[in-house]
Amino acid sequence: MDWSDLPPELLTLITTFFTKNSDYIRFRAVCSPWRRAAQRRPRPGFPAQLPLLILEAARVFGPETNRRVDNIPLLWEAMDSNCRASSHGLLALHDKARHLVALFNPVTRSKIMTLPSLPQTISKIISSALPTPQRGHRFFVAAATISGAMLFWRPGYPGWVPVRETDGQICDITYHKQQLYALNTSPPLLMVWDRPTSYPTATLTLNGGGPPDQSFSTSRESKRYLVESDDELLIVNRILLQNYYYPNVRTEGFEVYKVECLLDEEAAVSKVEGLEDRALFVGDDNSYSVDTKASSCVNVKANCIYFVDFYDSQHVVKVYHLADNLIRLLVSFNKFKGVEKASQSWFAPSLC
Amino acid sequence: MDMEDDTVQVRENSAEDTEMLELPKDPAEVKASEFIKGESSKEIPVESQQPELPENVVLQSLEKEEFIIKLAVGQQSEIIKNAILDGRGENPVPLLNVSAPILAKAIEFWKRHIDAAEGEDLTEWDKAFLGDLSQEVLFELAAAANYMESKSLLDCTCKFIADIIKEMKVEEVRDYFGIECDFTEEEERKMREDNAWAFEQ
Repeated sequence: MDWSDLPPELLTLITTFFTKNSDYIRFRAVCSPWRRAAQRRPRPGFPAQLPLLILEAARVFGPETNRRVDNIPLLWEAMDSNCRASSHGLLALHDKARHLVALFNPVTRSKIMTLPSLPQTISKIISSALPTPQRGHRFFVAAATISGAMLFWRPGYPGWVPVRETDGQICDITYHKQQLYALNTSPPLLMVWDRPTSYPTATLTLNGGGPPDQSFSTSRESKRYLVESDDELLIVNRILLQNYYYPNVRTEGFEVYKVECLLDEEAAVSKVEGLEDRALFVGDDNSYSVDTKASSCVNVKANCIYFVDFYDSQHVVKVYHLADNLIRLLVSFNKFKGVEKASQSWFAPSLC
Repeated sequence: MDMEDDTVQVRENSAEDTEMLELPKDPAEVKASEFIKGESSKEIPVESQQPELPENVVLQSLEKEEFIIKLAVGQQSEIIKNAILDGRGENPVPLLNVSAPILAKAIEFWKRHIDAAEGEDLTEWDKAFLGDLSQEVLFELAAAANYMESKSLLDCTCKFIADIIKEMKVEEVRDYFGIECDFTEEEERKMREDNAWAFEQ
């Protein structure tokens, strides 16, 4: 009986019962037959990992690990550059001095690709699909800047292509069903691209469900997020308390809207009262929707929104419960020795 | 098929004729059929085209020991199912890679799963069943499930093994399963350095 000698198909089958990246990584470190049986990239369908909160430059906090702080080492370049959590388990390292942008997977420690130089400061950068050699040119990258502009790039383009939006500010972007959506604050518009062109494929006015003063474009100070949740597109309104000025942010509450039937020039928006089994993580670089019923989901409450406030010089992770409209504290970072500060960026790592 | 072909049409007609011809002539039977509502003529048994399936199956282990089980129990293994259903009626089914005690355990598992009530949750039973086995038997049983192509048993044993591994550090896994580390020091160091966080439990 030699356990390292189990048939490879059996070993592979065993790995299909793992739900965490770390279990899979440790399995591959037991002995070389096991390492060979489990490919570097797990099978498609390996569960999406829970988002982690990026602390400082190299450490993360996972709500599911019950307040333990983990270290995921990044490239030494990450210490000098501006790091943005991107989609598909990638980090975008933006070297401000040389303006270069590299997409990097911190778990597999591989540099995926280098993007052309981008002088503006990026607030968000996402890809339509995971850039792989097989995919070739069939994906594109969208970057939103802190000034509310947006740029596209796809392999083959010599540089970034600026998008000519109507007016106003783009406050968030996301991919949904192969298309890129951008949320414009004022006027409230949803712009859609099915390919990276200067002008959107469609521009939709958002029609809220209720009377004007209760529509989602509230006059109170708020941050808005576009979140793809399951098969739906959500607009999450984060209502902020008035007297906290940048960089402070303190949240009063949330409103969640669902974008429904998209007609020619209009998108109907309706208020969402409950998220059912899902939980949302909203933040600066990326927002995620998580299925709390999934086997990989531990210690995350359903029908809740996880977010990070910053005031009194500390970062605080809180949970908003849609059920009773209350905010509860999860953890504040001055309690941890050595954690100087956090960010407001959630990041879901991926082995793929 | 050529619908103009008289031969074909004749055959179709003759099927109906055959049915009519087979109406029971015994008056007692005729009365019985009058009580049967609906299409009584179609309930007349037609000669089966397939060989009859045995109710029981005989399995033969490595040591040529024989086990008699019901067909439904054995059908949880593709190898056994195919041996019976492919018409050759191979009986006893030789399972030369599986020793008798292991085969007995597999049969015990299949029996419990066949006997399960509709919607009954057997996770606790499965865990207790596998938890009782020695490490050697667990290993042999997983290998046997793979050989016999029994998805239910295979998934169960592999999930059980995965659950054991999940809880352990790499050294603990090697210790528990008696696996020798065949990586060089350099390889080990690099693996741990790349993803140190995954190794800290």
